Amino acid sequence: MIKLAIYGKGGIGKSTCTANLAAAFASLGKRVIQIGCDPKADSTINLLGGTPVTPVMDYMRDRDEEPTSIEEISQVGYGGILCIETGGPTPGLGCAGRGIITTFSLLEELELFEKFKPDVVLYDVLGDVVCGGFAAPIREGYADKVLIVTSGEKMALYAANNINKAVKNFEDRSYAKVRGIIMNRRAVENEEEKVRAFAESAGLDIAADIPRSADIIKYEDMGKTVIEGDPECETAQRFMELAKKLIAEDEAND
Amino acid sequence: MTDAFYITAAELADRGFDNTPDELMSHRHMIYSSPATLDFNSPGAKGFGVKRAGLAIPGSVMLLVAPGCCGRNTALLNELGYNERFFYLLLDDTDIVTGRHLTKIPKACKEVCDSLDYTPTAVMICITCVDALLGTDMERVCRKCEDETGVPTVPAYMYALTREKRLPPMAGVRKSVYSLLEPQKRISSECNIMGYFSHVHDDCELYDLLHSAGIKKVRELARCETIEQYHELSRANFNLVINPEARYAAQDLEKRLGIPFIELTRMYRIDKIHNQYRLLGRHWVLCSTTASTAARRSGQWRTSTENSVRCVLRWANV
Ligand SMILES: Nc1ncnc2c1ncn2[C@@H]1O[C@H](COP(=O)(O)OP(=O)(O)OP(=O)(O)O)[C@@H](O)[C@H]1O
Ligand code: SF4
Ligand SMILES: [Mg+2]
Repeated sequence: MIKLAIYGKGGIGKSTCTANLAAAFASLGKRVIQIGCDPKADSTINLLGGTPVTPVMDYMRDRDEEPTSIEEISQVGYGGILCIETGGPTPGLGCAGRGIITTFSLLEELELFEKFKPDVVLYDVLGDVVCGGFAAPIREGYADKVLIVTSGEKMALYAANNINKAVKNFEDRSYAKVRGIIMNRRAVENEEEKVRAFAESAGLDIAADIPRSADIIKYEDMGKTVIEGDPECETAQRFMELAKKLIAEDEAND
Repeated sequence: MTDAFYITAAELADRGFDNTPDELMSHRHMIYSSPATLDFNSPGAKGFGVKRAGLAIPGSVMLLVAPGCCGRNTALLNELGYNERFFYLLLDDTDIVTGRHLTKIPKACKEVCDSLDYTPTAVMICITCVDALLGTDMERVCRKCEDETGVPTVPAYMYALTREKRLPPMAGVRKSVYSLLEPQKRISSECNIMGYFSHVHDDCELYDLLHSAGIKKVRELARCETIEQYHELSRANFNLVINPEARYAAQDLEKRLGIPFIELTRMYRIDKIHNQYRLLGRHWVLCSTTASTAARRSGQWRTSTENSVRCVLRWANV
């Protein structure tokens, strides 16, 4: 099973990359689950034609009880992808990290993996690894690889470096390792050199190079990924290449 | 008097003490109490909470990780003879906000083990509510403790806030205390009873029924006095769960060690209890003679229990 967590600075394109990668895996015939771990709960929206799924935390808050089946807290989107959002507390209140932990233990109790039998699980995680809750996706049994999304912007690279250090901090036999960087271009001057310099200094591989693309925005407006909207376009092809690469690595590992 | 009776507190107050309804006068007749109250075990009764239960592994010690105000309620347990087995790591605000306490735990564990003149069989790390929000991976912390001390270390969670959830603390701690069991060859004529932290009454009919059904050895965690006896628990052919709080632990043993389990429901009516034993008998894949012996024994137990109940009722003059 491929289990990936995607981290990166706020607004850098984590959800966009995660959803496109999920769609790419699905179009290659894989059974995919995408779990948005962000109170904004917008991770899977472009797999669902723009209609969001009810986040787990919202479900619990509104009904004051735990769901009893996976169906109550998920939607099936493009390519059969099972979409789940942890959601979070009312902004400014509660604890978002705890929300992730609560959701994860709930999914475990509902035997999500045993029942859905996914080939690929993707976790789209909010911003930095700020507290224990945001490290939950890299724990044993969850993601075993991390992809860091960054552009050539200074603050994005800064965040990427922090995330890399945080994940390294946890490095022991059962935690996830950083697989590499997704360079999500922002048309910054000398972008490629800047990202490459960082990747080299951190000893990381650039797993994918995603161009700044008008297609992404065009299909996002229709609630779609580029994989769904225009699978032949350059951007879609880059995501397909990344998916194929990760599948090949996983198969080589087995 | 057979009709159900109730009265609100306001009505009772209005009537005044002298007009207390007869139904509430306990010395005039027997007052029926529903099974729900029989099941209830008040914390004041010093029953088994997570901390006491966490020490069920023979020869183990517990490191309680908590702020002082929260940890001190455990001091009550000292009266029950646990003072040699409890150790405290007290937390302050800075510990919690910075996560510093997590690096202190392995050090504290080491200190505890070094301070003892024997090597404990296991260290239980019990962490209370304060940590619930932090999302600490206690399994990982325990591995670090093991690296430090060489003693098996297991987490237990006193998260009072999950009491009404699907996996309440008392179910979680049962999984913890069985978690050191390792797979070994299972013996078809042996079983465990899982459910409580004190053993079943010596004269409970369950032992007799199990024996008459061909079970030669019935084990319970509470009867294990040594770690060797504890490890024998994983020889069981099956587990008999007599308290739903042990179901999660039984499921874990099924998953990890392949030991299946049968769950019995606690019931209060003799015919229902009898019926349950009959159904249980049918499930045993045993030769017909032992199964029928068990069936006959369960019939005898039924008669004798009915007789005792009749005696009690006569005595109570109902
Ligand atoms: N390669 C790209 N080309 C064009 N637009 C992009 C690209 N990547 C992301 N975007 C746009 O950037 C915006 C933010 O992206 P996205 O929501 O994926 O970021 P995020 O990292 O998930 O944000 P947050 O931290 O808020 O969750 C979106 O509107 C998206 O369309
Ligand atoms: S409720 Fe939780 S925090 Fe409070 S005393 Fe009990 S264990 Fe400690
Ligand atoms: Mg996002």
